Amino acid sequence: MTDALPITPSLTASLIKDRTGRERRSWPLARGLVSILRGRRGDPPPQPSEAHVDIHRQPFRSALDWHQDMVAVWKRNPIFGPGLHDDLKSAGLLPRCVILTSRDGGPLRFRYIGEPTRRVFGDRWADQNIGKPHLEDVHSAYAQAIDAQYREAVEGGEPVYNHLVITGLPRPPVHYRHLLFGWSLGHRRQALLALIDS
Amino acid sequence: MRSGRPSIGRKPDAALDLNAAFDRRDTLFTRAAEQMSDIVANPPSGPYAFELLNGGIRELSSLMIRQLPLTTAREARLAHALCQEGIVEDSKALALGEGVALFLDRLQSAADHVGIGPAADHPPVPGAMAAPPAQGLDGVLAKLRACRSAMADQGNGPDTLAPLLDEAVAALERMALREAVARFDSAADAFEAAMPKALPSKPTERMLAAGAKAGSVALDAARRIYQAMASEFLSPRKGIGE
Repeated sequence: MTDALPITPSLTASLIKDRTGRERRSWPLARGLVSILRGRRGDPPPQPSEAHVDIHRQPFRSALDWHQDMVAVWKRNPIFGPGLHDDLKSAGLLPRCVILTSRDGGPLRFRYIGEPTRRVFGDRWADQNIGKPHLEDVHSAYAQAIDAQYREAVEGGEPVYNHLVITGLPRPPVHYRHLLFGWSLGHRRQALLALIDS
Repeated sequence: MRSGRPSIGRKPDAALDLNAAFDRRDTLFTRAAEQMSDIVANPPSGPYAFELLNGGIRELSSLMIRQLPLTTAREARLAHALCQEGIVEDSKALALGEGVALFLDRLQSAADHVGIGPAADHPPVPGAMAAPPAQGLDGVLAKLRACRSAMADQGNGPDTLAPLLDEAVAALERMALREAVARFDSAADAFEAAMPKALPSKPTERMLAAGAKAGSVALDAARRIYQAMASEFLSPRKGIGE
């Protein structure tokens, strides 16, 4: 499936552009330092750009070894509880996870955002989104595209394994795979764990 | 939805997980049972109605038998109802009845295992059948024991047993759900607490003073330097997916 989505170009991407384009020559180092000390970054404000996310379902036989480790953790924890937290930490898998939970029929909200996602969207984005519904993310079209996958994992009761490609960014395409697991106590509580391989 | 039942390699003699046992979500068994009830309630029409009805029920019966033994209270209740209503043929009703009995045995074993107390040490109280609705786990299990005793001596008909079982199972379900919700919330809070803390975007005055002193710069310069560095640190990092 393919979904168009606006992605705000990263600050880093702007720097790359500056390093290779005309703007770099017109922005000497001294002016840059002065600009920083005056409280401005000197970069133009980020402009939304059109991007696409392609989601390709993957067979489990192509899953990596540590994906299989996560499948074993999931099987050991049919209930979302403290045992899962302990298992993920001891297996060293927690830093690769994104975890969302919902209660009483409400939306899925971020509870944990691991390192791969923080590298892409930034620590500031991660801090600001903890506790918030993932569909309220500024990258809303991206969130909408992912939401169907999350729902399938939570309501389908089986892991979902996808390869995702985000293109159209002012940077090379972003490739990653995620393995999604869901838990549900009816409508009272739902949880989604995404294990990301980049 | 996930049933809590492993997809392969079921172990009938394994210890019963009470949380999983009272999981109310759909399983292959419950879906088949409900589909069977729907077919009976709304039978097909037309010249081949009987063949369609008969074939559908036989197919679903076979599917359910392949799912034995039962692993959840919901499955046990549906199996019991199918037997009572005579929807399945005799041989399959017998298998389902054995499935219900095995599930109750495992429930009893699980209760004994967690220290509730063996039924042998506490014979069922005759008045338990007429006692008010059970509130705690002890009361629920006392009723289950009374129910099982009554089933053993065949002194009570299904009309007496079914409501008693339903009441006990419903009370255990509520307790199990409350516990599961508490465990769920506890885990969610633990995950959030484990989230790495990013650099604060607004430093304290003490941090700024220390930075200004170390760098021999003015406090205002130190603040702007910190903001520039924090902004860079907190932004998306390059190199991902390249």
